[in-house]
Amino acid sequence: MCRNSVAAVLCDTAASAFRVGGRSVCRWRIYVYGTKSLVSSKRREIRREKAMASRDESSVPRKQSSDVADEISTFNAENMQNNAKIIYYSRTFMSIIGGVIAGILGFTGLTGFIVYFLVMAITSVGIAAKAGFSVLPYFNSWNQILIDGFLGGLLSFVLFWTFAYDFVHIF
Amino acid sequence: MGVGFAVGVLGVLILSHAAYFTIQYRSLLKITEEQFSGPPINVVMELIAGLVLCMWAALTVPGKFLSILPQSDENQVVALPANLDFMIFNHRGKTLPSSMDAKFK
Repeated sequence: MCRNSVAAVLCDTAASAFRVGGRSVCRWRIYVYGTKSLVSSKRREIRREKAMASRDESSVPRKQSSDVADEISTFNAENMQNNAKIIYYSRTFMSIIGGVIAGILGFTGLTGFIVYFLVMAITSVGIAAKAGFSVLPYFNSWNQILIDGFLGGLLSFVLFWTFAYDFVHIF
Repeated sequence: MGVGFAVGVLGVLILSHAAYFTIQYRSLLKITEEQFSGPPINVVMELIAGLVLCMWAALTVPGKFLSILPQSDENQVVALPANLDFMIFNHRGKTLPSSMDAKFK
């Protein structure tokens, strides 16, 4: 280990770049020599923020408050990714199914896009129901459930819409 | 996972049957030389049924939602990596609040 100054020293980065426990992790470990003063100043800052927050009673979305520990917001990032992936798969599949339905029904022009928005809205309600209509244990905000990825399946929808329309009505 | 997958396949089969029926309906209209104004009502019923089944499959097949809070029960399990040569304990994790009820997996 190399410790030669009061400032942050970079140590054992090469070791961290190897595969650890079956998952490839690349973590840069920074050793701060005088770390105690930094931690205590951060704690003072957090207490100041806590006092200000309790004064005007507005909740910062990404912070969680716990009585026992300091307010450092940590979320399980792997589970956040998993939940976002599930939403993406669901929306993509429903866009494709909506496209096939719009093609079979014979919609042309703007009424087909109305079908797309209808199917996406129903999918949003379905995802909210799957999360139990409460945002907190699974997501950060309602935007991630209701609005994110809303237009992501639009191109797949149009592709399968034209495909189904051609298949049913033209050929 | 298997049940959801089967439900999804069933929904797609219903949709394809509706498409096939619409093709037949159109060829019938071509014989009688009428305009295609809309599919018959049973095709619409089949499409709605297919949509409901595929919606159910789309919500259950990709997997369950996992909790992102660090205090929830399944997030308390600690797993040490198999390769112990590169493990470091003197890092900035000491500033995080430590919960002593973490279970060892």
